[in-house]
Amino acid sequence: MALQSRQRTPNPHLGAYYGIVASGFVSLAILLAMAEQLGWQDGSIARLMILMPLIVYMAIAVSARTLNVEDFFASGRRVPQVYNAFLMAAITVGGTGFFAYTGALFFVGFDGLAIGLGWVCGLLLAAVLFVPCLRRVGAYTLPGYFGLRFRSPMTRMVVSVLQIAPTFLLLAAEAAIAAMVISIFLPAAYWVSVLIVILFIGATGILGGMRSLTWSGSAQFISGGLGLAIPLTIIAVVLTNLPAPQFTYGGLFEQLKNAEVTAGVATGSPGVASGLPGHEPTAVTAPFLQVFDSISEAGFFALFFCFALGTAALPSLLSRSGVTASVADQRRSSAWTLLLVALFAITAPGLVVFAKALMFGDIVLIPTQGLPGWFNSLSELDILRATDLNGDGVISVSDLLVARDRIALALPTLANLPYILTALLAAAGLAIALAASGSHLFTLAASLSDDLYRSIEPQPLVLPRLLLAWGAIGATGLIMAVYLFIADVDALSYAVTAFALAAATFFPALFLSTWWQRFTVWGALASLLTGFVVMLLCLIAGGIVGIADTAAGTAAASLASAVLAVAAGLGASFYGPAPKPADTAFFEAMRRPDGETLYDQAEAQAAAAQRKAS
Amino acid sequence: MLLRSGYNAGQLPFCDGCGLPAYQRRYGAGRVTTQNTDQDTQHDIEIENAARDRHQLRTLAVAVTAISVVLFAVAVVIMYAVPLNRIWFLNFPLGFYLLAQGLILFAVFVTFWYVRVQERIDLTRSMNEEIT
Repeated sequence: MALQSRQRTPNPHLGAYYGIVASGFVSLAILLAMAEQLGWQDGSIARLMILMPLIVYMAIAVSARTLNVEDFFASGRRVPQVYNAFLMAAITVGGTGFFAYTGALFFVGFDGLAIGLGWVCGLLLAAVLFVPCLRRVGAYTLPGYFGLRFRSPMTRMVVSVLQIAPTFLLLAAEAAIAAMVISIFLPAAYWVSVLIVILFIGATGILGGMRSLTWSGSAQFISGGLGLAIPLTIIAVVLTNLPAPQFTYGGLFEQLKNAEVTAGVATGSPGVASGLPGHEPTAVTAPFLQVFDSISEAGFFALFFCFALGTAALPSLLSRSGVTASVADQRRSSAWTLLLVALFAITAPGLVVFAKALMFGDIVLIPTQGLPGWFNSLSELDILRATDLNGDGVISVSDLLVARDRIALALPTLANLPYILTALLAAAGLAIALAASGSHLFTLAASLSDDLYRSIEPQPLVLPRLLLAWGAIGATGLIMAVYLFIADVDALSYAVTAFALAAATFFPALFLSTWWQRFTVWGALASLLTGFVVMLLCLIAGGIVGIADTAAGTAAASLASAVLAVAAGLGASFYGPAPKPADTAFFEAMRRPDGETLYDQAEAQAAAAQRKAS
Repeated sequence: MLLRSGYNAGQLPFCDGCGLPAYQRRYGAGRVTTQNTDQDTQHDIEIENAARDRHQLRTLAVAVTAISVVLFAVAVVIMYAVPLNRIWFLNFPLGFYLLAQGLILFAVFVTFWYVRVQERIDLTRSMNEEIT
């Protein structure tokens, strides 16, 4: 049955709507800046700056509610390229990138750059290797793709189970970051903040699934981008006289180096790798520009490749491969994503250098000029903790314990700028973390409900399918809330583990299934299970024999697992049964750049067969 | 059992070769054999197979080029980061600059180049098939 391509026209007023959202966000910031000058309390400013946008995001999610299956799972396949890129960039970077990556750069400097570079190269790998084929297939989830590629419900269920671990870890990291921001700026305990976050992302997912996430997430990304760009540009003008922080922060290196030398931040010995910092407040020990000090050269390579492969095969990112109108649109959307992530990746070191130069510049003056003005403000926000550890009566750099995930919030205070800029940065980070955590929650729940449901009950009925998805979103949200109440989440370490699991489990199988015609269902199962099991063993053994107890170790373990997974996939495909003609036909169809989405064709034909039978 | 039985008949009927041109659905996909077809169809199939093979080869070449260029550049910069850092560029040590900005901007450039070239390759295949 030949199907005509359907016309998928996006709303022509989207630009105007999001223009209004962006100008509303900026106007709120300007209004609150004026209110601050009129004497409003800091607390009121922060609450309004955080809560007002939250109301707008929720209003957008409500207005994008849907009961249509294609809208719920694939946003109607008519999301314009750039709007899809907003969400994909938010998922890649997330609140973890916004707060924990910048924090890691603050501590390890040069050595942390592997992560940003890994994101960018990972998106390139995904755009070139996977995205066109995945869009052509158009399955709602990553397990759905594997199920269709090999016409095997078992593979679909196996992938659905395997993707729980990385997606759950990322969801925990993002939700913990969002809850941290809310608990700092609203008068709410951490557990109340966790509840707010889970209720918010759960409601967004239940109301309209991917459709609500897309339109609410686009607004969140725009707020996030503006909230990062405005304070940073102002600070760049103040410090370097030019409104381009990415290109001017090099001018502060000399000042930073002098401050580090005066403060006695020792040059470590290369090769003695201490790894990425934990989330407990610690003292800065490595100079910013020291090469391969905290992470060895091999560790840098491993971390880079782990993030590159992990980003390329991240289930939450790949499940957004079916939401644009065509293969070409999806490829362009990936390129826009890469551009947006690249903008963040080249901006983050600038933010860190500004913060570090300002902080160290003032700390070295403590013996002569006393404590700087920002000291108490940052202590109140729990960004700093200072105790005279060495008992010399003076606070030095080694006495100053800095919280990794909060350092991005310190910049406006360090530059002695109005409090509204701190609130703006917090609102931006929160928005990005919410967009990312919402997507992770939906990916996890949609896969658990839809892949399981479709494997057991193949009839394409709408209501049970949506009811099951709602139930899965609710249940996953509840489990996550309980987990966050109990667990002490280190966002960066969780993210490294999640990317390592995605790289080890999904990258080899995806690569072979999209580029090798001879790849069979047995090869896919062997590859997926080998990658996951070896990685899991490394993680479990990590604490015992020290294989994967640092970020670089975890990354190296993921690469070793990926290599074994490729070998297992090749071996099982060569020595197992040959692919069926239908597999080969699907492979050929999948690699054609034009034509109707394969998943939709299958659904339409299944529905027709159903009608005929009844 | 699930693996053997696969989906129910009619649920995911890719055995029909849906998504392929009409004659490929008739004769099966993959490299189409030319026996039992008349002269015109045989000619069409040869052109179709040639167009597909050319498309696959070009796609592979562009993919390999885009990825290897970026990964090679990243590997070289990481390996020579220490000597590169002795050179200063725009107030940045060069090794740091390349890892923090230069290579990232290069990856963006390569991706947009890849999108452009791949779209042209896809368009050529579609046009060839329409002509036949």
